[in-house]
Amino acid sequence: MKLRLTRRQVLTGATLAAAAGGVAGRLSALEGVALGPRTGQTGGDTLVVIFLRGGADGLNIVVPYGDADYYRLRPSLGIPGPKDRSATAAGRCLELSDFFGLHPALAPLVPLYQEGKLAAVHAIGSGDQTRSHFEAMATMERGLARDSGAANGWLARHLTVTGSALDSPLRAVSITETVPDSLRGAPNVAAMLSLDEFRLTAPNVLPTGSGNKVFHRVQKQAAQANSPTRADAIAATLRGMYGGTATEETKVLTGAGAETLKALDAVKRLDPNHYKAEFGVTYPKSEMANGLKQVACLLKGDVGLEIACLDLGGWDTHVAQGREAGWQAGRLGELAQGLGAFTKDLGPRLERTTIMVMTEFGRRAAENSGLGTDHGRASCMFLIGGGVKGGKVYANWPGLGPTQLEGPGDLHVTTDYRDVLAEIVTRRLKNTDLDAVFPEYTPHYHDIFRAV
Amino acid sequence: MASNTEFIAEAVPASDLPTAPPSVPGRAVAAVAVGAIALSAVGCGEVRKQAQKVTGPLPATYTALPQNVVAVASALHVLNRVGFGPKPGDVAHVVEVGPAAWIEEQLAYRLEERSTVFPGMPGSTKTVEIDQVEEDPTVDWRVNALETQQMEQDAPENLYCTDYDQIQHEMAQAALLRAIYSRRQLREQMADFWTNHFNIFSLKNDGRALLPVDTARVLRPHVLGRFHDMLTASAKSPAMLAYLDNNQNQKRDPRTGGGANENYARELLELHTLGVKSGYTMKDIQAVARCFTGWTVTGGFKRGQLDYEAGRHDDGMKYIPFLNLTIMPKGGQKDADRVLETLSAHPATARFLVQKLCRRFLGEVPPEVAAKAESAYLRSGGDIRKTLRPILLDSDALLKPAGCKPILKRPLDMLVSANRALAADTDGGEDLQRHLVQMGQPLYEWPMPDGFPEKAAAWTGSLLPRWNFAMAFASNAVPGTHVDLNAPLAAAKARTEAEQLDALMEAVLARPAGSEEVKPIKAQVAGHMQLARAAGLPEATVLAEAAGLLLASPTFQWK
Repeated sequence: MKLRLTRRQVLTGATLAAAAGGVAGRLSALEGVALGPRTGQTGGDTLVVIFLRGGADGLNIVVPYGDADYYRLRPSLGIPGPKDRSATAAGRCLELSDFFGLHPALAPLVPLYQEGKLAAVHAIGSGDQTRSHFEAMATMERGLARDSGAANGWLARHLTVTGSALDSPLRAVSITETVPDSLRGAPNVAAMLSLDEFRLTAPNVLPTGSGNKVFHRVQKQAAQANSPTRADAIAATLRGMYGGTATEETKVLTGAGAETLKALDAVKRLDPNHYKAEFGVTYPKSEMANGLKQVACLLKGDVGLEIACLDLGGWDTHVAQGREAGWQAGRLGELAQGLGAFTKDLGPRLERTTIMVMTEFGRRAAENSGLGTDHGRASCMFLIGGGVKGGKVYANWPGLGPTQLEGPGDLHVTTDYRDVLAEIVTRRLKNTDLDAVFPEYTPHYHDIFRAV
Repeated sequence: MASNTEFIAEAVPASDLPTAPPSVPGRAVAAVAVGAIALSAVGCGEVRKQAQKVTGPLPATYTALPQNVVAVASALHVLNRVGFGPKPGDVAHVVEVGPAAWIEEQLAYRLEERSTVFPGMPGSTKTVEIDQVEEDPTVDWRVNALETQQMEQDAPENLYCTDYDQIQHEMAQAALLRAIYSRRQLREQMADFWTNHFNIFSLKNDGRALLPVDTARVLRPHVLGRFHDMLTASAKSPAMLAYLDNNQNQKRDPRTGGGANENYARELLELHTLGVKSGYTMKDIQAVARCFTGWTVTGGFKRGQLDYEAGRHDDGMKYIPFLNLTIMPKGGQKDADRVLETLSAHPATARFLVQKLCRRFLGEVPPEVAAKAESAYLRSGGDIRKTLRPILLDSDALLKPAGCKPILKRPLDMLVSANRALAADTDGGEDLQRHLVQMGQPLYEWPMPDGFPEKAAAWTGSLLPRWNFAMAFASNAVPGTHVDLNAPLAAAKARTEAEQLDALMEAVLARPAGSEEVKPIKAQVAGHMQLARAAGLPEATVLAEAAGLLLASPTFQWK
């Protein structure tokens, strides 16, 4: 069924068909919709996790142009260094340090790097040796060294230990078709392709045996039943029901019902279909940008959002990966333009937002005969936000020499991905129970984040 | 007492049953036989679809609730906890026979000799316990008509070559059809209980190819039987072996350093038997894991079957301190059996299971009830029926009016009880299941071995999907599921608006519409209906909104 093919669809880039919300219309009044602090909230950042599905080629994203082996291994795909006069200016990577450069399609991220709000981590990955998308993603999303297949996600564990019954129903939102493994095991998670789906649906009773004759009447009735008026009327009655007296035991439900109704009200007032970005930002027309726009809408609505998950597919570049232009450059462009718009639109809210871009594994150091790259090990990660000690590439660089590569010729994993996740959990999400989130693992901090 | 007294012939919704409507079981059999012959020329999927149509649910009659408010509340309480809530007529029936007698009826069984089909052993028989309550025959017909359920019976290895999503849907479909329509309500509650107790995440590896066998042969035969039988079946279930990695559990290899996989042993002690607080240590887990080395699942031509590889078994001596159990060397396959036997009979297991059962049925663990149930478990050698008796029949617990803590219905409970309350005609198919997914309880998809959470706080964040299900369900906007809101109105001969609401309330909430408890909700829904009518909404929509609101009300979420 469609619900369960998602993982495969993500890999083939066939999902996230989020209806593009029009940007026309007036910004709704935001005042008065805030839900106020909730007991379970940690008081930490809102975390936005973007998962690049398919194994993104970190070596061509954060380019180790200072490593001569890189060009030896990638005679066709290697991206020239920032000062390489033999290449066109548009074909060179963008200087991050005297060793690393950024893929030119990621130009929209350069200002964030310069402002110190973006950091990259390189040669990062998990202990998974299978080089299987499914295994590697399962491992990483569960936050384990190797996947036993029987655990909840790392974000689910974080939400569980910091949660309470009166948490916002929009505390964890996944802008995906189904709940990702990182959130699996936390039942109170909303998965939606569009914020528009977070609404009450009024009954729509169709006359039976109508055939075509009453088609127009049916349409009219459907419109009437689904009109905001009916949903409002139902919400009003529910408000009455859930606002009634409750006992000590049943108020857990009535309280949650009242919160849900408030969140519904807030989202309605946010009017996601007519969301207008601030600071002169126009979101590009892409799935990534549209997803991030939904997140911005939730953030600005103060609906109690703590975790947002988004997917971007199309990274499984076995053939015709492209260099400064081409397939991968297109995916990077969508990511960077979306993030550029999103971070600018957040304005001062970026100070209390942490954005993480991750992938299940990197790709083979040497290019293949199809001008692509095969499944590998370490890749890179981006961290963006006010709490990031940015303007820096964090890497214990393992090198790309013949003896330095891992397995069939892959970038060695020198930083465990959980080191970064754990630092986010403690320093930015203010969760003190790290053992619950990453059991049986003692993380080593790389001091990438300031404490909230 | 025959529970089919609630069924009558003439209340079949004609629109839903285009062929001769099954009225009483006898006639329904004939209808199916005719249908099967007539359909032999068409495709398999079509046969399945039509067979489901022909064998649709037996109709239920709405009857007025008895006048005795206390008796009604008590009957509802028992129906909600022991089963998945009342269907029309159930409350009146339980009031008539008495809650204790109804529970006794659900627990009662008779012994029957059944021939077993072991290869090379023709004619052998075994004694099986058959529930005294006669099953609604349409339940088994509809479940057996599902392609992958049929495959499970005929050639389980073929499940590997089947669309895994289809297996998943039909597994959930079977569970829903049984929970909604089975007359053996306690059996279905217990099936859900044990499915969670021995939880398996179907999406791990080939879990979906193995799960149908686990459900049909490991859990369902034992849900009211002996715990030791179920535990042994579970330990040797290919689905469990694969889920908790025991298929990789082997003796330590000095060359590779690889060795015992402790995953199954850990969960066996923590979740299946002793409970994490019983006091065992890592030493116990490691010793138990060694006893289970060599138990694995076959691959190749006859894949997916239980296999014991003697060469992988650690045949040394083991000592399990917590159980004070010494396993002598060269025990081979018997090592695991010794462990399971000892665990099943252990007082810590009795305590752990009883506490879980108490929370399930009573919402709390009353010490006296638990003590009685523990001693019943230990005295009877882990007989589940005998263990349940003190929990279900104690006069100070379930049978005491307003005697127990409220339990928030989990999504499965909520969805099934809604289908039962309004006597829905449902195929239990994908469209109904999608609501369950949205409410946060996709069946067989809980990743961890502990099963879907019990506590209310785990479920209160997904109320919007519940409300949207209530509205869609009441307005027949869930394809494959149909309710007739006019039926309870007609049965109550409701003419005025007030009488209509009363009839809907008694059908959905199964409480007298005049009772104090539901007064506030009645006022809310009455006001809503008035405004809806004033807004010019069609009558059917007004009724659907009212029924939807009652299903979405706080009262309906508790049991």
